Amino acid sequence: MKTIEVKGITKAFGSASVLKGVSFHASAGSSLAIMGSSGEGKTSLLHILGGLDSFDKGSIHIMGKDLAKDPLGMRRKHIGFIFQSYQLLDEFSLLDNILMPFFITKNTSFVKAHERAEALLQKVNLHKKKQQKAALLSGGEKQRAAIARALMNNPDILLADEPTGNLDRQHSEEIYDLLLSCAHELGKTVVIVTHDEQLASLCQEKRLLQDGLLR
Amino acid sequence: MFIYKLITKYLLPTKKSLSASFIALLSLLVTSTVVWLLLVFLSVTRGIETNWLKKLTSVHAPLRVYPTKAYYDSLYYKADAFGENEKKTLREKWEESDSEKKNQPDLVKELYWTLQDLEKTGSLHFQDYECSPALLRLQLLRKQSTSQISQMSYAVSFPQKNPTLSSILLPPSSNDLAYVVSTLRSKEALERFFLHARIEKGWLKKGSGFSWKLLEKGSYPCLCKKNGSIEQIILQKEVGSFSGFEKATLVIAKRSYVKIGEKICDLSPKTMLFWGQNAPCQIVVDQTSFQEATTVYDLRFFATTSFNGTVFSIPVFYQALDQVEFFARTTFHKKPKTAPLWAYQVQNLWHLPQGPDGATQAVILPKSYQKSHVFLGDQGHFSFIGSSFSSAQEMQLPLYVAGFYDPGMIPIGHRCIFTSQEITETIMGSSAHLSLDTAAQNGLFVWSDLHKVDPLKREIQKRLQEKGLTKYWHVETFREYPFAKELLAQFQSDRTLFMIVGIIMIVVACSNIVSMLLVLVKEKRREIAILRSLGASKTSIGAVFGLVGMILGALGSVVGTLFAIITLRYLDSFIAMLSWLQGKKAFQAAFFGDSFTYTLSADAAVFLLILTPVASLLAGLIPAIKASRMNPSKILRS
Repeated sequence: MKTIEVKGITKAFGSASVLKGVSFHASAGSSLAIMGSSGEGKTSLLHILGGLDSFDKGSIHIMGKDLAKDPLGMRRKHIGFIFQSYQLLDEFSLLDNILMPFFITKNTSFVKAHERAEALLQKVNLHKKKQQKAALLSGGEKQRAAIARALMNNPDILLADEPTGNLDRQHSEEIYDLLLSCAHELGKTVVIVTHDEQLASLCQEKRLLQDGLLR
Repeated sequence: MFIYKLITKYLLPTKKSLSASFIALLSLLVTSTVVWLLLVFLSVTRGIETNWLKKLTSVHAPLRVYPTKAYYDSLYYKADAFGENEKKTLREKWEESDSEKKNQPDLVKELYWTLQDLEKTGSLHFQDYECSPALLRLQLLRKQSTSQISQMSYAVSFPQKNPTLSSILLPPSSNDLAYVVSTLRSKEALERFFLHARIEKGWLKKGSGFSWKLLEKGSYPCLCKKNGSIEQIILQKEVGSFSGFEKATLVIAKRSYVKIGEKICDLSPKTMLFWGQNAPCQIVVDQTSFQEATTVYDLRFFATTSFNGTVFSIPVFYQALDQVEFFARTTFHKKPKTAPLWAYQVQNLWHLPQGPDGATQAVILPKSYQKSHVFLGDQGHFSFIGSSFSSAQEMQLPLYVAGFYDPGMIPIGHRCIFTSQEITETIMGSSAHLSLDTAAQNGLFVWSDLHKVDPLKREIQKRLQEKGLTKYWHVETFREYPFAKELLAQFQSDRTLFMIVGIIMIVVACSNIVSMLLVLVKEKRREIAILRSLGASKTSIGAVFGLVGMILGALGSVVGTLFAIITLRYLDSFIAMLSWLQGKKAFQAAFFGDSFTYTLSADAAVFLLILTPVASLLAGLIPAIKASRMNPSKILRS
């Protein structure tokens, strides 16, 4: 099943045209790496896919539905974000950070949400630090926590923006495993924007964003 | 839930957001200070207005019914008057036999019956009033000098049924009672005074003497002057200023003597003891001494005091007493056979006494006369121009000051003198008296709950209309009294002005909240973007900041209200401090009354407790809109 279907997306910032007709699709359980030089519009494409930013022309369908019609609903239900600089809420505990998507959407009972958060923390091996403030975690721990948070509402699609950009080799490999297991084991569609050749080569599909087009 | 979590985080000061925390604290401080000052100010002004209204409606009743011109022009009014002097007051009309007017409605009786019907339902009390202008002349006979006070006044019939009279009548002070007792010149007057007044305590004057035989058995330290035989014995332990005296011991026993050193001197029966200093004592009048007394100085008192641990009672005259504290009884369960010399209450009705001679009519003066050193018991007369068929001449009615009342700050309050109806009727009966408007001259005072005055007025008017008497009677609430109208209007416009000033101050205070929230939005922009990426809506992000503003406003108003309650509780100390700082009285009693209100104005509190959070919520909208319009993608990329 096509989880993402992008057709002819264009995006310009003022007079600078960044995306000039990007088209691709991805299905459940697949992993797609998008590579490209800095400034080619990789992050913009990812934000557009997550409904954080708008696009000028074209269409995006997420789980068969038009993203432009309800970007917030899509984000709440089908999309999980992972950022290069983790973007955890530093003043909250690790557990609160994981639970935050539930606090926002309230899509299930608190008990179930709490159980799921505990399970995710086990999965990313951070359950012993759940009460710690997010600011006190190491880089690798923060990114694992960010992955757990992205999975909290059980989205169909994970959008990761340079997930290993700030990590050393050892921690990066942990992240590779986690992200790819999301695709293989949990059946998520994982779209990764990265410069990391090793990570890209581990993905099922590798595409290059160049001159506003995906090749 | 995340909104609540974020609000909690944003309201608690943290090291990371020091500037926002500092501005939040400042906003809280400014808001609570504004609410505090406004509440205290509005409560005090409201209290002044309430006190003023209370006084106004205690002296003049909250509602009055008086005859219109149609009444005075009616045959009913003119029919029984052969001459001007015979025109009857409402009370006289009410009390007269109705046998002569069977074929026409009795205008006064119909009105009385209407009010009596309403009185039975418990919604009002009423009584007729008469008011006559007269010149009050008081003679102040004092030991050192004699002076006179003259003032053009309104003699108002004593409203004995007024249920709020107790709140304005001042109880006789000890000074007043001390003065009045000193003016009494007969055994009967003295008995009458001491029947209802007592001396609570006083001091035995230094130097006053008494026989040693009155002392209980025992030994007492004393000072003794001896020149052959004992000259003087002073009851005092230390020599102090008594030169020529020696320390001694007074022994009262079977054989009484003074021991000076080793020497023993017997006391003669005539030896007197003297007090070396003022001694506190309890005083009771000797009832047997009334027989031969014509002044208080002829009376004997038993003074119970103690010296060197021994309590004893000695008979003394009034001259030997100092700083005597009198207490007068003013309330009785049933009418006393002999009335006191001051106004007194029997159950719910107040009564005016007659003077010490049993004939002079009493007056109750506004308390401003006390400042002119007028005392209870002072005498004088009302002077007015009386007319006969052939001439007009000055007439005088003797009067006796039986008490004082607090008229508040009604413009004419200090000229209104309560007196008996005999006096007001006598003056009114004179055709040559200065004419007042008909409303002030003669009518009915109606007392009821202040808040129910307007419906009561409508009810009375309705019932009078049913009887076809509307054109004869004018029903007026205190808001329409000519002498109060302008002041009441002033209070109303002051209140509106204070409210406008209050709103402006709250808006200014809220501008701090706007600044604080704008800083907070700037500081939390990354968090806002993260939350948006996690699915938070624009509205919920806006709500976080709007609610932070509202909570700050609500907190500020609660803190301000608490401070206002504390301030109002200790308002006297606060005003004393202000007066001390200024070096003069901060608030003049003539305008503000003797004391301020200590209760929080509920209206003002509700107004501010609603206005402040609402204004803060509105203030929070600007930053809230800014926060909700942020582009998360742009922020996350940066």
